[in-house]
Amino acid sequence: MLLVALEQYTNQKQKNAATFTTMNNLFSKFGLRNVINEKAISNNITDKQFTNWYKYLMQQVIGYKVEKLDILFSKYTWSGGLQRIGQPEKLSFIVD
Amino acid sequence: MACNVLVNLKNYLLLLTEKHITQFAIIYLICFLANFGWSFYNGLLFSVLQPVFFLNKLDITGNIIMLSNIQHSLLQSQVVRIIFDLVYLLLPVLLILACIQNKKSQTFIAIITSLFSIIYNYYFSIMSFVSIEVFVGWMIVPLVLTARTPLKFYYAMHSVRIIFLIFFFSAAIWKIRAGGIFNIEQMSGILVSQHASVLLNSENIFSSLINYLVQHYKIAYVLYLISFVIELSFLTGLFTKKFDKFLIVLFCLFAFLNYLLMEINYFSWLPFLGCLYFSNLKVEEVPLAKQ
Repeated sequence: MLLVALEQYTNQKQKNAATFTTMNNLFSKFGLRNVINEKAISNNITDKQFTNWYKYLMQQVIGYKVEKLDILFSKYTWSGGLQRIGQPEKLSFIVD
Repeated sequence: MACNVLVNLKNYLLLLTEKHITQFAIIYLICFLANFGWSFYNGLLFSVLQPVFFLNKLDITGNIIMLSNIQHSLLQSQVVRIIFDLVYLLLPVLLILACIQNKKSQTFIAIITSLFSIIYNYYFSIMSFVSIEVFVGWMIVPLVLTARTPLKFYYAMHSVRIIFLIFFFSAAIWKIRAGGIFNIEQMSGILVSQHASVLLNSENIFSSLINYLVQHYKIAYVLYLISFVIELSFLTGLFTKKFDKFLIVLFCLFAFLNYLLMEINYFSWLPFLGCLYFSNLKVEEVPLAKQ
């Protein structure tokens, strides 16, 4: 859950917009153009709000209070074991 | 004479009655409550998770549900989240009470339970990122309990039984269509992507097992093949009910292995097994005029 939430938050803006476009095109074929409101299927969330929620989620999982949060992101490849590619980067949307 | 009595007794025992509807309902409720408790313990309820964003999907039904705009109320208000969880918990309880007392409202409550489960689980899926497939049992099984008479129950149960069988063997067909079954490294690749964090961060029995299976891809593939054969074997259910008890055992094995290896909880599909368990029971023949 902790990993998936980060990935989904990164993608949510772009994916929700793409889904809106596809769904709107589909609905318009049945004469229902603009039935879906883009605002209704978009998130209204700031990075700060996400960070606070993520800290709450982390506390639920690890069982103690999280005072300060920084997340480093790395890419890995499998070659007889997981091997890191490049240097870890700090996730910019975690603002604590 | 004694032989006739035995045959009559056997026929009576194989007859679908109101008692079986109640038994089915109780199995469903026990599974539901166990799953609800498990979800609460793991923080997988709206009121515990307190989601703050969602990821929309290319799902027509889902997007129709979202026209209601409930998603924003769920994201913003803890009261709405608690109400959602409570209604989700109480509807199956109400349904089973109506079923035990054979009340007229049973059909209505069963339909409402199914509809609310669709709405609840769709929203939960897009806010918690748990795949919607695992919630299917709670959406479909209540429909079996729309029936108040053995005859209607017979048809409802067998319809849901067929849907369940199709879910399963279509997964096997998909493994053929997508080509996974022809790729010996398929399972090892799935395990790496599913358990990357486990492989990276922990050293325990589970991570050692996953690491071993990833390294020994042929053994991992045998497990993939076993799951494929299990899924495909559900095809037999479309032609005969003889092996339904055996399919129950296969499903339990599948659910257990999935939970152990993939950490996917298919136990919410357990109520479907009621359809396989009672499938051999027959209904009393009713004259056409009486129907």
